[in-house]
Amino acid sequence: MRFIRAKLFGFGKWVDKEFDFNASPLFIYGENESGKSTLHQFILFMLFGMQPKERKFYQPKTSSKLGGHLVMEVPEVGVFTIERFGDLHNGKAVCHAASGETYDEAWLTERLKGMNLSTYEAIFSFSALDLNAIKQMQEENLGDVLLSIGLTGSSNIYQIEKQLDSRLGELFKPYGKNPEINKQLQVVQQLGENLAAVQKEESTYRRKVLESHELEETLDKLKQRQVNLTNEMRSVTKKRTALPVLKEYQQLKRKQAQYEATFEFPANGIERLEKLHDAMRPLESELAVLESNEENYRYNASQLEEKRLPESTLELLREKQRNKSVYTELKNTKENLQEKEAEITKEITNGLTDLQLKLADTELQELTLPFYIEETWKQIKEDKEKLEQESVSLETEKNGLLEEENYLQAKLREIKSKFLPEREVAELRRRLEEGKEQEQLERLYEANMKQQQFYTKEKRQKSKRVKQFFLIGIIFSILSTFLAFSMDMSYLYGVALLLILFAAGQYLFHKQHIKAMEKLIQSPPVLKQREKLSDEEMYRLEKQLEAEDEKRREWKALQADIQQQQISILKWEEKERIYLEKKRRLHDQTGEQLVLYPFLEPINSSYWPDYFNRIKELLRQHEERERLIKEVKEKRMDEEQMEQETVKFLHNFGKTSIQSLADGFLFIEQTIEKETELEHRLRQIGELIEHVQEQKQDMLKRIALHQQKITKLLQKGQAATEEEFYDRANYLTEKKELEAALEANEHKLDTIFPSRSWERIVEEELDPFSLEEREQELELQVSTVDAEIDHTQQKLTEINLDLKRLEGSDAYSSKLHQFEMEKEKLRQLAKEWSIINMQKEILTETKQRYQEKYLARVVEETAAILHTITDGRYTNVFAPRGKETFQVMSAEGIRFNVNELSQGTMNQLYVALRFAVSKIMTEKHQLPFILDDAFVHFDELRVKRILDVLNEIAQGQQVIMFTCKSDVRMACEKEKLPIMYV
Amino acid sequence: MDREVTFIHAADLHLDSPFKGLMDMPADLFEEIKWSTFQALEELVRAAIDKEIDFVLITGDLFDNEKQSLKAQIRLKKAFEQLKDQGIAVFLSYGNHDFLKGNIHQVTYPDNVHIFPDEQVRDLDFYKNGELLAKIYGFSYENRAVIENKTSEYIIEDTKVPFHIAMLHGSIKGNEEHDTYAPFRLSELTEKDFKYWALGHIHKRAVLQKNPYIVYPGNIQGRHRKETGEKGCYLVRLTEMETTLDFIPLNRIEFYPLKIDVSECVAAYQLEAIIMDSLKSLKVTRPQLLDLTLQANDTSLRNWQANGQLEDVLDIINESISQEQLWRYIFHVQLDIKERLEPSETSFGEHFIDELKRSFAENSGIDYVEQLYQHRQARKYLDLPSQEEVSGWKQEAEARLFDQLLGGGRR
Repeated sequence: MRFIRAKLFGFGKWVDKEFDFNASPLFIYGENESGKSTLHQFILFMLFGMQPKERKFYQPKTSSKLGGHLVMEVPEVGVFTIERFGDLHNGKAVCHAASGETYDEAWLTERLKGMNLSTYEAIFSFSALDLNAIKQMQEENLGDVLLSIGLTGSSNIYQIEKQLDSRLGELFKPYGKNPEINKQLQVVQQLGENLAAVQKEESTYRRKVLESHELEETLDKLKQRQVNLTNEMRSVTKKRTALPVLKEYQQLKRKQAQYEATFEFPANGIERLEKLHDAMRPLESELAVLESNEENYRYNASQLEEKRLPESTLELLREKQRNKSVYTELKNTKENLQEKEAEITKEITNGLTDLQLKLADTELQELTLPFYIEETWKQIKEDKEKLEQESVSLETEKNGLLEEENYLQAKLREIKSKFLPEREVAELRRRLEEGKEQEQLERLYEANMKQQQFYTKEKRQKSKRVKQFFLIGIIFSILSTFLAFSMDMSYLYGVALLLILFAAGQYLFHKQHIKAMEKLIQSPPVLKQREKLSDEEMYRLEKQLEAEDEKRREWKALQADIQQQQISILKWEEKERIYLEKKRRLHDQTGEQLVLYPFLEPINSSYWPDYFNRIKELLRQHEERERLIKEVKEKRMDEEQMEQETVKFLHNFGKTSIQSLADGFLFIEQTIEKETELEHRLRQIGELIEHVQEQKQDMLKRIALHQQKITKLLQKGQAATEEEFYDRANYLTEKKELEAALEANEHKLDTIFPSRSWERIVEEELDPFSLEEREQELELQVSTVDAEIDHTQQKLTEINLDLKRLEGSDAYSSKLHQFEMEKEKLRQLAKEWSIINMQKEILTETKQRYQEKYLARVVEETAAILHTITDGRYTNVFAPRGKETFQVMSAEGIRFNVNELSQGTMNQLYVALRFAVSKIMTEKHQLPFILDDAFVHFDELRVKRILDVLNEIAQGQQVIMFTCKSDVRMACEKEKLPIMYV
Repeated sequence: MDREVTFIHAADLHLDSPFKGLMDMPADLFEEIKWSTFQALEELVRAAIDKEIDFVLITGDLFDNEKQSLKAQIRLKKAFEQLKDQGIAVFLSYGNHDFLKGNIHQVTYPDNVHIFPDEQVRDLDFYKNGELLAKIYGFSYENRAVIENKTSEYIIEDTKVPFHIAMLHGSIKGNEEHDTYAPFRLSELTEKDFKYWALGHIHKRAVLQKNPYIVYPGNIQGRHRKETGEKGCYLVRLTEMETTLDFIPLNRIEFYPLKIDVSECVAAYQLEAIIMDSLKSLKVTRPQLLDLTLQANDTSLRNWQANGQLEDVLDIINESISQEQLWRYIFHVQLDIKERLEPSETSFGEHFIDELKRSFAENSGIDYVEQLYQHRQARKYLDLPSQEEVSGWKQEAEARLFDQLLGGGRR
């Protein structure tokens, strides 16, 4: 890096002044107060800026401007201009690169590699005043210099070290008491001890819990013992009071031993035996009663048997008795028949009276009516009725025919009178004929005219068309002839010929056709002109003719009807003849019947069929009466025979007094009734005997049942006899009584010694004296146990209280938390101390390493430079050690202390040292070196030598030296070194 | 009918175990903190009673044997007695902190408490209305550590019982963050037919898997700055068809990490307003111990920390916010400073800083703490810091030193 030129717009005494730095080394010469220092300051101002106060100092008197340009060159950027004015950008620099870009102060600082004013001055600038510093320079000082350079001028390492040291001291001293950590350690230790004590106490918890459990157990045991003792005491006391009962029990128990034998015996055996006997007794007495009853009944029966009639006699009587009913029936029948006969006789008489017939009762006997008679009578009645009807209808028919004939004759006459005369009718017919013919002719003529017009039109068109076809045919034939000729196609000649023929043919054909048609049409009909009738007149004529025809048809029909009428009258006359014949025959028949049955005389023959049935009914009743009379006769005879037989039998029987049949029957009935009663009584007695026997049987069964039960009971009681049974029963009763006594005793004992505890006691030998002794002994034991319980209880309470206290206490917990917190504080302090200690230790360590490393190199370089400046008089330089200063070694190998050196050599050493420092520490980034009258005290020779050194150094690095010394100026001039005058 | 059981799953109660990282706490807050684990336990009991659950599962680390207070177990016993009064059973297994042989007090719990008696996995029955409804499997630590995999010992007995629930105090194999006790692989749990895996040991709650649920409920009260947020237990409802899980917070005090950007502050006194502002904007549901991280762009914050100004400001804030009903307290503060003063590589200051960096890099730093940590008195109470801790401290030392050297230079 180098300065090229500076332009001062206004700075101190300089206003609008330009300096060119295009030489190295460049000597700037000027008298005192010539403005050298101001220029020096300007350069520094351009590079690093200035505080406003300082800037004020350099405010020009003659100009308002403060500032200017400094043109520089740096390797990586090239040439650029720093522009800085006191009143612009608050004194900040603006840089203009050759490329035209503009940058700010920060960019500049970067170009200067972080260099600041103090570092720059420390490295690249020195003056005569500094030269003597080498004299006092010791290791430490040199180190500081190097450090200050290495840290870009930071000189507060000492301060930092000092701060760190004091902080460390405040925090911790290994044997101190007051530093924070030491104090905290004491706090923590104190708490730790407290905590241990509390913990120790708390750790007794478990032991105490166990102890508590043990005590509880002991207490339980003691209490159990107490209960046992109390129980025993109570039992002994009881034993004493219950002694008599116990004794009795023992006695009973001994007695019971004799009744050891035991056997099976039916329950309530005796009672049951007695009961069975009791039950049997009434049965036996009842049996005896039944037997005596049976004997009585049998006696009575034999008595009655003797009174009875023999069976054969009785049978006869019964037979006779049965005849009584026959007799009664006969009598009744006879009476009924007689009644009926009287009734019928009455009916016949009434019937004859009703019919008013001329016939007596007796005549009926002879009268017979054959079956066909009824049919004959019916026929007569029917024929008579038919003939009457026929006569009426013949009369009616005759009247109708006569009336009709009259009517027809009248009508015929009337029609005939209305007829037109024959001539008139013929005239009408002729006129009508002629009218019709005329009309037809007119119509035919009109049609003919129309057809003729149509054919004329068609003929014209057709002939025109024929002509056209003919022309076309000719043209085509010419064309084909031409084509055939020009194209030499021979078949076309044929075509042309054909076409001509065709055209001609069709033309001729049509001509013919038209001619024929013309002939057909040209013959119009000739119309004859006659009188023509109007339509109305025609219609009227027709009507007149029609009416005349109608009348003639009617007249013909009437004539036919009259003929029919004549035939009907002839038929009627025939019918009348037949009727009269029938009437005569009926009269003959009726006369015949009256001869046969004269009683029919007064009766109209129309009612004869009805009389037939009545007379027939009378005849049948008559017969019935005859039959009844006969039957009555027979019954009377039967009656008489029976009476005779019965009276005879009774006489034989011994009852001669009886004469009538009625008496006989009465006797027989009485006898049979008596016999029946006897029989009834005997049957009753038989039934009684049977009943008694059944009862007897039943009784015997029941007795046997009881007997069986008794035998079984004895067997169960293992007794052969009833006596033995009773003995055994007695034995068992006694045993039971003993047991009952024992039970009563046991019950008593139960009330005294609950839950059968006496069973064990009665086994014991019971002695009132030993019991009393035992009681006293127990009393003593109880009081001992009571005391022990009290003691244990007290101990337990104490321990439980202790446990409660421990459980409720949070002493340990609280202390623990506090302890942890204090320990945390200790940890934090320890951490802080550690960090600070690290800072301090590493800083110290680094410092030493750094100094050692760079000092050696600087000293080596210093020796090299010194060797040059002193022209080899001094070959080596030794860095100061501890309180020692620099040492140099001469070419002769003699070491000199810096104090032992001449002023000149000393100055040379310093300059060498400064250049060495500059070279070593700023190897890469060398800034221009600015010397301000550094060689004030140099003699001519030394100046020359130093100039040589400068010249040499200036080849690698820009060197600017301000001087007011004329000898330096002269030396420069002599040496032809560039020099600038201000 | 679809049968069901409801229960609370909790673990790692660490009753009466001291909080870590607290110092110079105000006495009243400290008192509350001391009680907080017990209050969380009370909350648990209350929840159990309110929700009318069938039983409570506690998977280990109910208290710490090493810092065992009798109070812890007495309180536990009382809690169990309250549950007993409501007919709620308790199934508990002991973990690595409350292992059976290390318990010096051995308080006897009421008979509703069913304890897994040894390191053999066993099953305990749960009856409801006379019906055997659930089997609960588990084991207790007999000694300080169980290092073998216990999963193979979990074998379902009696498949007719509708619910099988496993309790396991341990961690997933290969988990570097925690000591691996009773290590298991997730697949080893999944392949068994348990309805629910009630895990314990890990203090951060996590549902490792659903179907079946494999759950760490976490501890019930956070006790240091890493145990942040709500802490509590899970309310579990098992039916034959489904499982539902509800988290119930129990903690009385919450560790709350709070990051505030204070880049805008140019003077230490301005910190107070900014911090107070952001504190006001927070919703508070329970007392909080705040773990404050201050972010800044430049190193002046570190200077304020070094010269005690920051501490003064925090004291003022704490005095104010610790008086509120729902108190808060900044117990820890750390700085997050973006700027790191360092000379650029090519600049003049490089030499010494380079050397300094080299020194820090080459040095483990442990040598520099020995003087204190080996001190005859101090070593009793100070555990030699871990390499990690030391390197953290070293970073802190380096940053501070750079600040002082380079920041000073700038001045």
